[in-house]
Amino acid sequence: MIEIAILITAFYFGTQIIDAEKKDTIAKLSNRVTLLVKNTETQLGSAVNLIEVTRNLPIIKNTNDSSYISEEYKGIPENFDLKKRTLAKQILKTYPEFEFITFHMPNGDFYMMEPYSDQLNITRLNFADRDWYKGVMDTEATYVSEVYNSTTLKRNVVAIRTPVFDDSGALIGIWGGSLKLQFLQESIEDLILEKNSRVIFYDQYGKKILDTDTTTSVESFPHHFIDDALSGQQGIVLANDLIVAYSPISAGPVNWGLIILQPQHDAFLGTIITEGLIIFMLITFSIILAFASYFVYKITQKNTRLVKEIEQASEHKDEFSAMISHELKTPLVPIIGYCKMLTKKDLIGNLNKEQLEAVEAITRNVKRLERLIVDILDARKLDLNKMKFVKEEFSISEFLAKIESNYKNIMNEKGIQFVINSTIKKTTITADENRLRQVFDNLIENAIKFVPQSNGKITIGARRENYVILFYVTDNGTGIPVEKQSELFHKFYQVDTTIKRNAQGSGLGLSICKGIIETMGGAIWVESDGKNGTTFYFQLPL
Amino acid sequence: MVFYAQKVFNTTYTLYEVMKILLIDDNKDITEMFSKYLKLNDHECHTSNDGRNGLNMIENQKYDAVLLDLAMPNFSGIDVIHALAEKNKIRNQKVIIFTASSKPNNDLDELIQMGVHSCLTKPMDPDELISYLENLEVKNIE
Repeated sequence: MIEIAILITAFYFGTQIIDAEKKDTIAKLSNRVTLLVKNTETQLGSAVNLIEVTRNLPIIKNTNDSSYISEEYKGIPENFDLKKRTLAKQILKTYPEFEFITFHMPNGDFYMMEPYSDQLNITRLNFADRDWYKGVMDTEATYVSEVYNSTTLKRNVVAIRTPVFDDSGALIGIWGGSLKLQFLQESIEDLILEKNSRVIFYDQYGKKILDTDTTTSVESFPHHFIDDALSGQQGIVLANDLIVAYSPISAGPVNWGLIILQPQHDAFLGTIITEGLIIFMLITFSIILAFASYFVYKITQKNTRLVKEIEQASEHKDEFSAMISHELKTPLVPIIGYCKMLTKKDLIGNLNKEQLEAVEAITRNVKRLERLIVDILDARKLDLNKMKFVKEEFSISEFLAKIESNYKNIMNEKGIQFVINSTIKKTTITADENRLRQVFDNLIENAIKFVPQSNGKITIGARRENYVILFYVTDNGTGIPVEKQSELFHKFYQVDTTIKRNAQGSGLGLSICKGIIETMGGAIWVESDGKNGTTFYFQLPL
Repeated sequence: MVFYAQKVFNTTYTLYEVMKILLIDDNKDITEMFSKYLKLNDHECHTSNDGRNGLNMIENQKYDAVLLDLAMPNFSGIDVIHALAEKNKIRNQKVIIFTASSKPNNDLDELIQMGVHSCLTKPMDPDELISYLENLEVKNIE
């Protein structure tokens, strides 16, 4: 699941990057379109403005020499109406975008053209068939012609023509200039266009003014974009594997259209590379993830199996403990019972002294065996953390008194001095009384084993120290060497491991004590100089 | 009802009722031994070495205490308890679990909630067992 989520996230960010790159490409193109449109509009606007401003000059508003118009000169001769010619020359000089400057008579006949050399090359006198003538006459305003091939220069030009009225408002002629399309070419070159871009200018009739594509390597495109541009709309769209940018160009009477085309493959080359990279990365990533998931799955599977096995083993252990406990203890029941019956006077007949001693020996050893089984089970329960504790509040002094009365007889029999040394009177403690009793029993029985045959002394007691109750069991035995004290609480550890050792025991007692005390939140430790007796301390929180 | 006087600490006498005990345990040595011991101590002891038979005895007679072993083949002590609990008869008798297995305490809690009187663990000194049972009766008389 996580892998899928990572992949989706990676894919999402991947598409975000691609989208961002596409947006960036389109934004750049949009900037270029705007620049080109503004540039063209400025140039055209300037040219139109220049013609419109100069037509109001007095020197334009007369055609005194029109009577000298002849077919031979295709207008007036060179040395006539020099003022107009001078103005025309100045315009050509200051605005070299103009191919030539002309003045026509209201009927479309040539009046003059500057440069004069071009005038002489004109093939005919009347140009009333031109669209600009019709345009100017219809609108009585400045008109920019369709693109046409200059008859003199054999190159494409557009004519800017404006009607000239005299002071009475009568039309006396048509003033204008023909614009070379060089500036368009230069504007395009000024832009740094992307590879394989194609720029097309259309005039108001949808006729191509300029097309940068001479090889027609770029595919055709939906031509309604030309109409859209000419009707004043602009936009950038993706069509036929192309990016098509279209925009109107309008400056006064000028109403052109601009189309920029670019194959998407070129436009989005960077994006495509990024896309490829991202796809490559995604695939690589997926493969790595797949492998990783597979290994994780394998390991998890193995672990699950191990955990299951361990759980089963643990369950078996518990069952085994319960079974052992039952099976070992059950045979003891009749043994103990019959021993009791045999040793009791007048119950099922009386034994002689030797028989009685034998049965008593059996009883003693059965009790030891029982104790050993209980110890082993307790140690196991502590190991498995399955020993249950009951929390009860009880009086410490009463608790110690019970121990004293329990051991009184045994101590008397063995000639051991048994001292209860408690400074605590009314204090109570909340703990498991039976388990605490078990700890005391273990320590006292240990002490009994190690005190000297004569003058043995065992002291037990309790005192309050801050927030704990400190219990202790002291004997005047041989003591425990310091180096052996640290291992004392380990299972099956016996200080004297020689076969001839005097003391007997399971070797579990102290480790059980440690387990019980620590589980109740306390601590147990031993103090001995290795010569003069031993004291076991253990403390429990109040 | 028969009462016996028992001498305690040379001077005082305490009264106890003759008890009728049922001991259910698959181990014949155990049932025989306890049966003998109880009888020698002037109590009446009935035994069963089979859970199902034991259940019949519980249902058909009134005992002062029923000592019930848990681990028995075919029909265990737990089965006996469940059968009694289902018939709502478990509280009619003092059913005392008498087991050698070290069952977790919460399992025993569950059994006690089902209506079992108490729980004793084997091995147990027969004198201690009798004293426990007699104390149940003393409490009852009081």
